[in-house]
Amino acid sequence: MAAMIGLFIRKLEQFGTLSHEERQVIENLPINVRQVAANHDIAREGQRSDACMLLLSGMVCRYRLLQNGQRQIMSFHFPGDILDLTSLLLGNMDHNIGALTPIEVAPIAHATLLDWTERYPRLGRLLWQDTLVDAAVFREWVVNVGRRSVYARTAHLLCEMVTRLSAVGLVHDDVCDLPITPAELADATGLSIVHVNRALQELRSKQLVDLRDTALVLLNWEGLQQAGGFNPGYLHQRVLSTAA
Amino acid sequence: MSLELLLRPVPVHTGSADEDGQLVLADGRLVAVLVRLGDAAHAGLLGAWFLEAGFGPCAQVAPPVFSDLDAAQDWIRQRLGPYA
Repeated sequence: MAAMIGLFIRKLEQFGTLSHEERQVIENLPINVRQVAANHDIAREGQRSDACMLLLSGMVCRYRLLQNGQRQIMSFHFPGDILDLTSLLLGNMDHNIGALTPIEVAPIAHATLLDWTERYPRLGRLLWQDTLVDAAVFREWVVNVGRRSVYARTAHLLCEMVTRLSAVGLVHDDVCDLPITPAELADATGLSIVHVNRALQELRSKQLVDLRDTALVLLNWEGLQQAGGFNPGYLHQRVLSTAA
Repeated sequence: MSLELLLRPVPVHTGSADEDGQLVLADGRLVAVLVRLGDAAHAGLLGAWFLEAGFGPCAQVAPPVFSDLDAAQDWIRQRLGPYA
């Protein structure tokens, strides 16, 4: 858990070094770990929350449901990510946040975050930058869902997940713990599950990547990036963690 | 009055092992192309029928999968409405 706070600090420090006092303020945060089961929501559309959640373990997604029951996943989030800075300043949620796996979160009260930003404007700026990176990822998703082919869309999303998981030390020996299902990939790429299955099969047969039940095995990282037309620039990662 | 659909088998080049298809015509017009899922990649959906293409009211951003051809035809009739 201290490791995850450390990870959160490291993510913020991609954009600027925190002062000793600023680091202490984050490290001294009282942590009440909340466990949430898979497929449960931690935030609901239309509701207000009074805390942002720091994701400590597991994977979540932001999503909306259409009236006909179809789901559009709008982003994935990994340990070290803070959810949802938007609610801090905008009030009612305009989307749902759901656990895709069992997760652990540490709530940080809005009042605490607002106090931090008043006392340490630079910390506020770093949180702002984090939200801007979120926005850059959403822009890339617009391109992904709007224009890429079935094959490229699927490859691109897998590249993004590998890159982001790698930054938090969750890729070892070309294998990442990725408990994502084809249905979730489909909802994230605006495709049918049939198209996603076909794309995964093609990626497998071209020996680029193999998505198994709970793991993603990278067979040809360069090839996978080419298949997706992937350029990690939009992730604005300044510091990549070394593998654990 | 139930709309009469005409099914015509046709191999479809989907770029996958799913090739067993059916053209679906209503009143002489092509309204859908169904493909039977034959690729092992589909796991639990193997053997189901997929709306590979839909035209007019059958055009869908998120094409459905049907357990069998009867279910597919029921859905197509529903989309086309109560007129023949």
